[in-house]
Amino acid sequence: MVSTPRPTGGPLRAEGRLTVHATDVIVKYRRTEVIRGVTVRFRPGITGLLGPNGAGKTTLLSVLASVLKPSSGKVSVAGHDLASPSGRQHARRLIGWLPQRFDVSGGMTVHDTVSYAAWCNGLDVRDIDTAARRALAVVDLTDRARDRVRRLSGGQRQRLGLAAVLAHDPPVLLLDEPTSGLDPEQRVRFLAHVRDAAAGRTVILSTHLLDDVDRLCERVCVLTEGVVRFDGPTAAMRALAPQGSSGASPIEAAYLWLLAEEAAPQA
Amino acid sequence: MIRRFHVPVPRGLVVLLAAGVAVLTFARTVGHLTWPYADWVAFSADARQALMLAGPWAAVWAAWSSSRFSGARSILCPASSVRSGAPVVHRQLRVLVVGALSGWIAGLLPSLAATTLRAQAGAPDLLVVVGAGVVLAAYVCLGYAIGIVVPSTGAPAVALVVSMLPGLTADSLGAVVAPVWTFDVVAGQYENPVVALVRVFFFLSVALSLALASGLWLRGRGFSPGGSFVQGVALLALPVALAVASSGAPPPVLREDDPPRTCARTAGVEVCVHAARAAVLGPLTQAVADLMTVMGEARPPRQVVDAALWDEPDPETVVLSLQVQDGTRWRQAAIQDLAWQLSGAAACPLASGIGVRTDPADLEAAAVSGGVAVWMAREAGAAGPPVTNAPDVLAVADRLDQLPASDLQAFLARHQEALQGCRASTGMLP
Repeated sequence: MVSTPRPTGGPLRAEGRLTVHATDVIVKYRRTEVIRGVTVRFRPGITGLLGPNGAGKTTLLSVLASVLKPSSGKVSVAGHDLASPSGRQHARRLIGWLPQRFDVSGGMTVHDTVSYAAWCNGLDVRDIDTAARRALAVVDLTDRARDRVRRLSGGQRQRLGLAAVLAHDPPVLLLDEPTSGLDPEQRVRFLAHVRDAAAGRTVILSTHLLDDVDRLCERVCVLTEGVVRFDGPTAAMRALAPQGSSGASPIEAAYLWLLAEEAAPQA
Repeated sequence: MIRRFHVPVPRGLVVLLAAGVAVLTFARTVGHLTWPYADWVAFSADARQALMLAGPWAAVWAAWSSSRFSGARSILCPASSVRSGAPVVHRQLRVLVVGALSGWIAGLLPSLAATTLRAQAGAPDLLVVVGAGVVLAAYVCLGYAIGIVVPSTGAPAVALVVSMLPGLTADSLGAVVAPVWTFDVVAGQYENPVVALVRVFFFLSVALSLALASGLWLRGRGFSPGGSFVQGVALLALPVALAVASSGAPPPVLREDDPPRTCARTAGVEVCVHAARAAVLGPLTQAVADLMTVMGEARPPRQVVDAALWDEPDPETVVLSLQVQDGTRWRQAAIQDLAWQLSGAAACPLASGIGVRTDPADLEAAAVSGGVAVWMAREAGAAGPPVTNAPDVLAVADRLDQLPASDLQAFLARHQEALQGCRASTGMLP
């Protein structure tokens, strides 16, 4: 019988306070503003964070994950202010962050990797084994638990990464372009696992694959050049598609229209 | 099942680290197995000297481990994790240090066993051995910290260079704070216990400071790296201050033993060695007897003593530095050394390689004394290459080989004073 590990975000989920809130966030690298006064609130459900390369998606996710200090502005996760050490410590228990590219140890087993990640993410030692097995079950890697990580395919490694950030049962998932580099079949399977994992969670999925957003996300946030251009339900974004757009899905047409609108004043 | 994740680095890496340390330690200490006697002082010192290479090896793998498994992009310990800092460092370093120490102990075991079984005097210097273990832990912590600060594939190379430096610059660092020394220590000396104690505390402070700094650096990744880095560097102030303080007026690192001696008498000569070297007394006494036979009527020295006894120089005493590290040729080397001194060759500045003199009379005297030494050693049974290959010396030795022993013994007795004062000439040869 599998016992349930201590929930880390249960009460918060029940109260519906699982919001991730950024207010007037500015991030500068030397003198360049990469994020320029972003204010956005992420709610339970899957939100697609869209934008071209260099738009600031990874930077914004790093700020939300509390691994990058913003130059100014305020970020809170479930009400915990990331500016204070105690707030950061509390918030980090609630976050599962999967970087765009992550390192794993090929010599460790799949189970040990997830177990150790769970421990790093704050889970009590007594709960780790159960949590690791449960997370591996969510991403369909139970049968590979004893294998060395080096024996996994690219798609399986990505699912291992998802299991590693799921193991401590965080109510907030920050996934930075998790499907990049996967073949179509692997991508479909991975997104299905994300959908399964998203129940009751606030998931922010950074991507530039519009198809992923269209299939999976209830909300969309479009970021270009460090500024939020759109933040709303996916259906509302589809509605932005200009009449008569041909050869593109509504969301593609809307996205291209937003980029064109953003570029228009500079032309 | 919960213990499975207690090794946060691959077992293969820990095994590789430990195996490398074991091999390098064994390679350094395996020579003890062939020594003609067992020496606790040398064993204790080599427990440290083995770290000349084993230390950097451990540092390299510690750096690889921390750069690989504690990097900001590691899924094992992402910068966003709650346990990011001291708990992670403690867990990883514990495994790495235990792995390195296990390898070190395994590498020392053959020498330890041989010394335990064969040693006739003395005991291991526990403070020195414990200090060496702490030095190894400090090497691991150094490599680990480098991997945290330089979380890239270049970390092991940086760790190799940085960890080799203290060993290579040990002379300028001073023996108190150098992790390894540039000289050997054997029976007859002992390491100053005060220095050994200071070293334990110094390297303990180095290891702890580096571990704590690693924790701070790891915790501060990304969000506030500057402040954490400064705090981490500040932690290193203590060992640096200790190092500076000890370099001002360093205490002597070695003390002369007040050695127990063991002696035997042969042909009117008293032969004495350090009690720890009692095993070589018999063969050495026999070598002296053989040489006295060769010398015939010439006046023998009063004593032949082991240099480890630190006896005051005395014209009637021959002091021998026994080459015990060469287990098969030490007796031959002892005979050659004795012959070199008894023939007066050691008193010849040119022949002994000290200074440069071009006076033909001096060159001739050196050739005669050297030739006599080579001949004496051959006659006493020292096989193998002679102590010198100088043609004029070998020419004299070859000439002496052609003569009857009785003539040569008479020659030695008649001209002993001239020979030993390096004033002999070829005209004196029979």
